[in-house]
Amino acid sequence: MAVAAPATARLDAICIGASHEVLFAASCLAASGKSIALLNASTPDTANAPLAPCLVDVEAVEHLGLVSHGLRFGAAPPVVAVAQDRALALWPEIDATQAGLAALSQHDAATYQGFVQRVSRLSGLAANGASGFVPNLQMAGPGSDSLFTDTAYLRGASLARVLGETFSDPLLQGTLAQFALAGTGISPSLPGSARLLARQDVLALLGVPSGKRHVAGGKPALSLALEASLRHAAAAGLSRQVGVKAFVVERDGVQGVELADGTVLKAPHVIMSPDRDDSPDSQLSQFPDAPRLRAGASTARLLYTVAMPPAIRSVGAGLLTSGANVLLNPSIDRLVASHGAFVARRLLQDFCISLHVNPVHPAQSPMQWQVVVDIPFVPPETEEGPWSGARRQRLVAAVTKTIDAWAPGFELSLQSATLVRPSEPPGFLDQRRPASVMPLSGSAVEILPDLHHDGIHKPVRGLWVVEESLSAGAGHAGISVAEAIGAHARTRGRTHA
Amino acid sequence: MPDVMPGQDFDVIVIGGGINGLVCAVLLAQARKRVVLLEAQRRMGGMCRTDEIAPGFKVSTLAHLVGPLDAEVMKQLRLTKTGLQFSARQIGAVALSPDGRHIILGEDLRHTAQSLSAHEANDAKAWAAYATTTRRLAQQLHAWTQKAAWPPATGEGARAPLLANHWRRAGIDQAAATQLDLSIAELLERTFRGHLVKGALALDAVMGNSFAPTAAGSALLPVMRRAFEPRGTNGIMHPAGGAGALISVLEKAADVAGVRVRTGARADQFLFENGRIAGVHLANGEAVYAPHVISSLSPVQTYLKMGAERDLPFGFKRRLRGYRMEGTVAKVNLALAGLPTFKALDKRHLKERLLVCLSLEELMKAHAAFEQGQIASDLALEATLPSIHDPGLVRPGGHVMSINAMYVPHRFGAGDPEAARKELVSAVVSRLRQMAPDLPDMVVGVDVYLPQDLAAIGDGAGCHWHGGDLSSDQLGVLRPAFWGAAPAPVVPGLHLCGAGTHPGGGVTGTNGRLAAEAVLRAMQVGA
Repeated sequence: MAVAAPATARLDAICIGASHEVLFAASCLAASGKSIALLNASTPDTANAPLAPCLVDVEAVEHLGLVSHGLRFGAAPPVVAVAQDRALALWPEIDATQAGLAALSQHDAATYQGFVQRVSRLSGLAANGASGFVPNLQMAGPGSDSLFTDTAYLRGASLARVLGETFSDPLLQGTLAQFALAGTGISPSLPGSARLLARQDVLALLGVPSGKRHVAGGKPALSLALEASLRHAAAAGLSRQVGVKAFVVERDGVQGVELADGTVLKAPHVIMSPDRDDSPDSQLSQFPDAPRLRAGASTARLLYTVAMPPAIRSVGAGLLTSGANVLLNPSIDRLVASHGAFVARRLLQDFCISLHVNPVHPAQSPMQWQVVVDIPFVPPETEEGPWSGARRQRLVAAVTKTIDAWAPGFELSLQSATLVRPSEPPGFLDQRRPASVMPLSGSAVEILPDLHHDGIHKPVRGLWVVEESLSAGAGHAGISVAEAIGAHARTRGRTHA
Repeated sequence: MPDVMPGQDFDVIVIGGGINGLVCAVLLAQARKRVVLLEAQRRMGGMCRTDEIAPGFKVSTLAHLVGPLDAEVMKQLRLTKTGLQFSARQIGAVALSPDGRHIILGEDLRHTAQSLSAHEANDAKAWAAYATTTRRLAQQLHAWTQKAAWPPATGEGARAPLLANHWRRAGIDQAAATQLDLSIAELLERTFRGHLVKGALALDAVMGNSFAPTAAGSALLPVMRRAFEPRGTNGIMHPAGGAGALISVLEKAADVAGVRVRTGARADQFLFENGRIAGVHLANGEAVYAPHVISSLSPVQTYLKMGAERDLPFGFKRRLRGYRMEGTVAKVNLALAGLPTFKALDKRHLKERLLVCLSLEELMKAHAAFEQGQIASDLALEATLPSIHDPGLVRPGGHVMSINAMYVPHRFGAGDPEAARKELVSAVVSRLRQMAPDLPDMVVGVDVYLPQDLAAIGDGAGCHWHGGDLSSDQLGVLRPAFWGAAPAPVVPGLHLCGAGTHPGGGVTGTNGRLAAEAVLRAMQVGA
C-alpha cells in the first residue's frame, strides 16, 4: 500500500484537477501501488455541484470496484420538450416514447423505431473510424448493401436534414437536434452533424444498448465514489489543494510541475483535463499539438435555487423532479440562428434553454430546489466585451425572464441565481496580470468533434490530457491512460534490469 | 435508322441547353440517335454566357471559368477543331493580402513557397506536403469522377464484389479515406499556421456551397476538383470570348451532329404511358414524344415539379426534398476604365483567380451572417480579370472584373431586390478597395446577380453553383438521392444529366457524357 510520500520524493505521476477522467486515472494508478500527487486549485464543492446526468462505462466501474465505494446505477432520465401548445417526452424505452409521440404525430410514432435502428447501425460503424465514408466514394454495385449506403448518408448529412426527412413534427426534430449537439458549438445545419446522433448520451436516450449506464445521483455521485476509491488506496494523503503555475519542461518533455507556492514536483507523467476551470491550460498552448478546448466552450450554465420546482406548462412535477431534462420550445431554425449569432460573437435573446431540476439537501430543507440551466451557443466573449460585472447580471435577468414566461411564478420563487459559465475572466479586474487572461475557445472555428477519439491527447512526452470521449463513456480515457503508464513503467523496468 | 413510331418523334429529348445538355445531346446524336434539345430561354448556354455589361465591355456574366473540361468530351466533340480557343490555361489562384504579402497558389512550388514563407516560415514546407498529398489522392479518385457512380447493370462489373475489395481496387487506402472525411477547416488547421493561406484555401474549397468550412467531408473538395484532371494538363481555363464562346462551339457541334435544337421551348410536364415516360408537354401547349427524356434541370425540378412525383418511391422522394441546392453565391461584374493596382502584385499573376478571404474565422463569420439571412461586411470573394489575357472582350484600355461573392443567402433581398443589389455591390467594392485602393474610382459599369436572379435564369438549377451542395451526403451514389435499384432509372425512361448528378458541378461536361453513356446502354438492353 502506498504511503503518503514527502513532496521531494520521486513520484510516478502527477494528476491535476478534479475532472472524472483525471480521478479515474489517479484511482487506477493508486490502486496499482503507484505514488501519485493529486493537485486541486480549489476543493470541489461536491454538495452543491450541479446534478448533471452522467453515463459511465460499466467496465470501468467494475475495474475500480466503484460499487463497493457507494456508486449506484440509476435509470436514464427522460427528455421533455415543451412548446406553446404541446409537449413530448422521450424515454429510453421505445414503447413509452412511441405512445407519447402518437398523440403528436402518428407518422413520427411509426417512424421512431426505424430511426433508432438506423442510429444504432451508425453507432456500430462509429467503431470502424472513417470507413463509413468509403461506400459513398466507391462505385457501388446493384447488389450492394443499401443499409451501408444509408449509414454513409447519415455520416455525411446534417442533423437538420436527417431529422427533417425522418420526422414531421418540428418539436421532435428540435428536441433531438438540441440534445445531440449539446456542448459542441456545432450548427444543426452543418453537413456531418448527424453523426452526433451516435454520441453515447443520445444512444442512451434512444435506448440503444452501448455498455454504458447512468449513475444515480449524476456527476457528483461519481466524484464521491472516485474519492472514496482513492481514500481506500490510501492515496488521499497525496491530495493537495494548490494551484499549478507551470510545467517543468526538460529534454523536450514534461518532467513535473511548479506549484503556485513555488515548490517543484517531479514525475515522469503529468495527467490533466483540458477543462479551463482547474488546469493551467494557458500553459498548454506552448505545445503545438495541444488539444483544442471542446467541452462546454459554447454552453452557458446558470444555477438557480428556488423555493419550489418551477411549474412548467404541461410538465408534471413528478416528471420534472425525477431528473428529466426539459427543453423549452426547441427548434432547429432557432438553433441555426443562435449558432450564426454565436460565431459572429453575438448573443440572441431568443435562448434555446435546457434545464434540470434537483432537490437540494432534502433532509434539512425540503423546500429548496436547484435548477440547472444550460444554454447552447453563448459566445465566451461578445462584441461588447467579456462577460463581466453588470453584463453578467443582465444575462441572468434575461434568462430568468424567459423561464418565467414558461413557468409563471418562477421569478418570485427565486432565492439565488448564479452564472457559472461563461466565467468571469480571471485577471479582468486585476490589470496587473494581463497575461493570466486565458485564451477563449482557442479559435472561432468550432470543429465537429471526432466521435472515435478516445479522449486522450499527448501533446508532448510526459503530458497526458484526458477528457471524456463522446462515444466511450466516463472512465474509459482515464483508465486507458493509467494502463498505458503502467505498461510504460513495466517496459522501463525491464530495460533497467 | 428505325422508322418513326406513331407518337414518337424522336429517340431522345434533352431538356436544357447548358453545357451538360449540349454535350449529352451531341454524343447521342453522334451515336445516330434522333435527338431534340429543348431550351426554355431564347438562347442557349444556361450558366455559360457572354454579355455586354456596358458599351465596349463584354464578360462571362455568370460562370466565369471553365474546366477542367472532360478529356473524352473534348476528343469526341472535336471542340478544338470546331474553333474553341482558350485565352488562358492552368489558371491558379492568388490569396490577396491588404499589405501586399499575397500568396501565390499555383503549380509553381517555388513561387508558392516563397510567398508563404513571408507569413510563416513553416508553411512553405507544409504546402509541399499538402500539394503532394492532394495530387496523390486526386489520382486515386480520378477513376471515380470519370465513371457512373453505379456500374452498368449488365456486362462487366455487374456483380458488385465485396465492398472492401472494391475500395482497394479503386486504390484508396484507409488513411486517405480518413483524411477525406475531415472538414477542410480541420485539415487546414492541422497543416498550416498562417491565417491567410487557411482562409483562402478554405474559401477555394467550399466556394458555391451552402455549408461552412467545418462541414465533415469538405476536405474532399480540393481533391475532387483536382481529380477531374490529376496531371493538371489544361486545368481551369478561360475560353477566348468568354464562357459564351464555349457554348457557340458546342452549338456548332450540335448542328454538325444533327441535333434538333429548339429555343424558347419550356418543358413543363412529363407525359407518361403505362408507367414509363413517353415525352414532354411544353408551356405553349405542344407535346414532344420520345421514349427517353434526359433532363439537365435540377433533380428537385425534374422529379418533384413536372408530374413525375406520383411514381417515385417514397424514400427517394423524401430524400430528394432534403436535397440542398440553395444558392449562396452572388455574381458581380464590373466594367473598369483602367487596370486597378494591387499592391505589390506582379502583373503576370493578375490572370489567376484572386481570392479574398483573410482567415478561416472571417469565412466562418460570413457563414454565420448567412445562417441569419444576412450578408457579412467582409464577404469572401473570388475575382478574375479576364480582359488581362482576352483583350477582345473590352474596348482599348478598359478592363472587366468578374466576381463571385459569398455567402449570400437566398432570403437576402427577398423584399427589395434592387436595394439588396446596391448593398451587395457596395460591400464587394469596399472589400476590393482594401486590396486595390484605386478600384472604386475606375468602375464605369456594374452588373449584379443575386442568388434569386440566378434561380430565375436557370429554372432553379442554376441557383446553386454546383447544382447542389457537394457534401458527402450528396455525392456519388447519394447524388441526388440514394435509390435502391440503381443503376436503373427511378422513373423508367427519365434520366438526369445536370450538375445535380455524379460527379457534381463545375463546367466540365462530364455529367452530360455519363448521362449519354447511360442512356445508350439503356437503349441497348431495351430498358
